Order: sequence, then structure tokens, then C-alpha cells
Amino acid sequence: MAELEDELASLMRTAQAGDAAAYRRLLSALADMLRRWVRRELARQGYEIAEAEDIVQETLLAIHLKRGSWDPDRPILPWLRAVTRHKLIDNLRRRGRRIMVPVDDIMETLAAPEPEDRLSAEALDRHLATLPPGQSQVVRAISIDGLSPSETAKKLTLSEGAVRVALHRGLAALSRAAQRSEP
Amino acid sequence: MKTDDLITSLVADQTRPPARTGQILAILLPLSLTVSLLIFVAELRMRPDFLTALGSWRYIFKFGTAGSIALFGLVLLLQLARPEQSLRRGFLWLPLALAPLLLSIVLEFTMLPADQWAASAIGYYPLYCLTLVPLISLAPLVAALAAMRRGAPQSPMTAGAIAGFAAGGFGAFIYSMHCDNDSPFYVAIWYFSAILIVTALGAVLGRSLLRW
Repeated sequence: MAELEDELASLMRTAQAGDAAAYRRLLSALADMLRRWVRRELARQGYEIAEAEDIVQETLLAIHLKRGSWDPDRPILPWLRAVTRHKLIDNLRRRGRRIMVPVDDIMETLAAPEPEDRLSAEALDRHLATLPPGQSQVVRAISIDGLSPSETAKKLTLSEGAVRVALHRGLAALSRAAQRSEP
Repeated sequence: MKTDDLITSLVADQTRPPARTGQILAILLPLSLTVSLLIFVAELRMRPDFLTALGSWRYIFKFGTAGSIALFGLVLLLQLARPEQSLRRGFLWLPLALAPLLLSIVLEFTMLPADQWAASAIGYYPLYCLTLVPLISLAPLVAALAAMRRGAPQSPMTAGAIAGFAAGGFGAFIYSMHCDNDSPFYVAIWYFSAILIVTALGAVLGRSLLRW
């Protein structure tokens, strides 16, 4: 646990100093951890785990948007746990009245290895469609098409600054849209 | 959307360290207090005996009550900006915030003859206090809520309420320069009610503005 704490905290510190590679490594590691944790929690509470990846993605967004609320002088794991818990509760509240799947199914799904394509989720695409066109274009270009902000700027004939602003606003709007959504 | 694609966009959005609640507050709070002081200057005036009144324990305690609510309210607010902060531990600050008020009430019970209690509790123009303290508190409330939007409070409504509580403390502190009802009874009833009005307003605003 102490090792994990040190590793994640140092990745976050390096990332906040502007190291993009460290940030990607941190978020990928967190995505794996979150996926395991969210699935286990959903199963434990008797919910279906089909939408676990939606919750993982929403939580990653929250970790990103709220990373300033982590105090670098304090341990990061309690902070991560608190953010994850907040998003999970928020999600369960929204998804509250869903049919529970029989426990046997859960055990099966948990045991089965996850095919790669399951690591994608639908909810964010739906929310992306509700954003102002400028923001959703930029978010799509950078996330799905994998363009850099400067390539996106060239493609959409915008300044790079405008792309960065649209990206940030778009991500914040995505997070808000997810909170409002009814599954 | 694939999770990896989402991560790509998050990495692209990470350019410089994000501003923290404390940093935003350090900028917005002085600005908002300037606005509050301008409202004070436009609507009210200093009480004429301000300097002599500073020699009375009641007046000092009135400032102390408002000041400690503002100060400990801010301390509590900054704690609530961190999601891992447990609400219960944060609220250990609350008795400290109210200590000057409680202490001055006890003093007043022993110092003031019982036949004067009712009159000093009601004071003069209490409705003035109930409207102007919240009015002066609006700017610091906006500042506190704006700063808290950078935070990740476990309970947005509680965080909004504490933002209102602290802002109300600042409003009461400024209003004290005008008001000449100094009895702790008056402060406990009217000032505290005015601060609670701002607290309730903060809770309502926080519920929607501080959701994340």
C-alpha cells in the first residue's frame, strides 16, 4: 500500500509539473484500479456491472477536473478513494432503481477475462452530442481522432489557445452532462 | 468512447497545475470585501462614538464574534474543499467559531440586571441588521462559492452553507462598525439570525453550484 501511495503521488506531482507522459501513466494505472474497484463494488451491492466503464470514465474525468483539490503534502490514496466514492454514490443514486442481476451472473462476469472492446463505454458519446458544436468537435478531434491540440487547431482553423479553452470547457461540460443524465 | 481516448484528451488538457481553492480565495476575498466596504460607505456610516466604543468589552466581543465566525468559517471551508476531509472532524472547528459569542452571553447574564435583558436583546432597528448584514455579505459569499467550485466537497450543500456562514461573519464584522446595539443578547439574536440567513442562502446555492 505504501509503495502504491508513493508511486501514484509521485506520478501526480510530476504530472502537475507538466510531464504529459507521467500523467498518461497515472491515468492508465488509475483506470485499471478503478475498473477493478467499481466492478467489485457494483457486484457487492447487487448492481449490474455492465455500466462499470461509464463510471470509470466519469471518475477519471472527476479526478482530472478536481486534481487541484489534492494537497501534494498529503497522501493521495485517501483523496482518490474519496473522489471515487463520491462519483460511485452519485452514479448509484442516479441508477438506483435498476434490475439486479442474479449473483451467479456477476461471479461469471467477474471471472471472465475482459475483451478489449469492453473498455469502451457509450455514455460519454451521448453526452458529447449535447455539447456546443465547437466544444464537441475539439473534444472529438483530440480524444477519438487522437490529434494534438496544434493539429486540431489547424484542422478547425482555430488558434491553439482557442482549442485548449474549448477542450477544457468541453471536458467540464461533459462531466456536468454526465451528472444530469438519467441512464 | 474508449477509456484510452478519454485519457488522451485529459492528458492534452493538463498544461499547468490547476488553481486551488485557497489561491482563488486569496484573490477574490479581498476584492469582495472591497465591494462590501463600498456598499457600507454608500448605505451606512461609522457610528459617531466608534473610538470610545472600542474601549467597551461588549463592542470588542461583537467584533470578536463576527471575526471568529468569519475566520473559523474560512478554515472549515478550506477543509471541506478536500473530498477526503470527514465532515465530522471538520465540524470540530465550529465550537471555536462560536466561542466568543457564547462567552459574551455568559458575561452579559452576570453583568446586566435582569430587568434590562429584554430591552437590550431587542435593541434598536433590528430589521436593519437582518437586511443589511446579508446584503453586505453577498460579495464575500460569491467569492467563497467561486473558490469552492475549484474544490471537491463531499457535500455541496454543507460546503455552500459554510461558505455562507463565513461570508455572514465578514458581513457582520463590517456592519458592526455602524451598529450601536452592543449587547451580546442582541448579537446572539439579530446578528446570528442574519448570519444564518446567509448560511441558508449559501446552502441553497451550494447545492447546485458546488455539485461535481
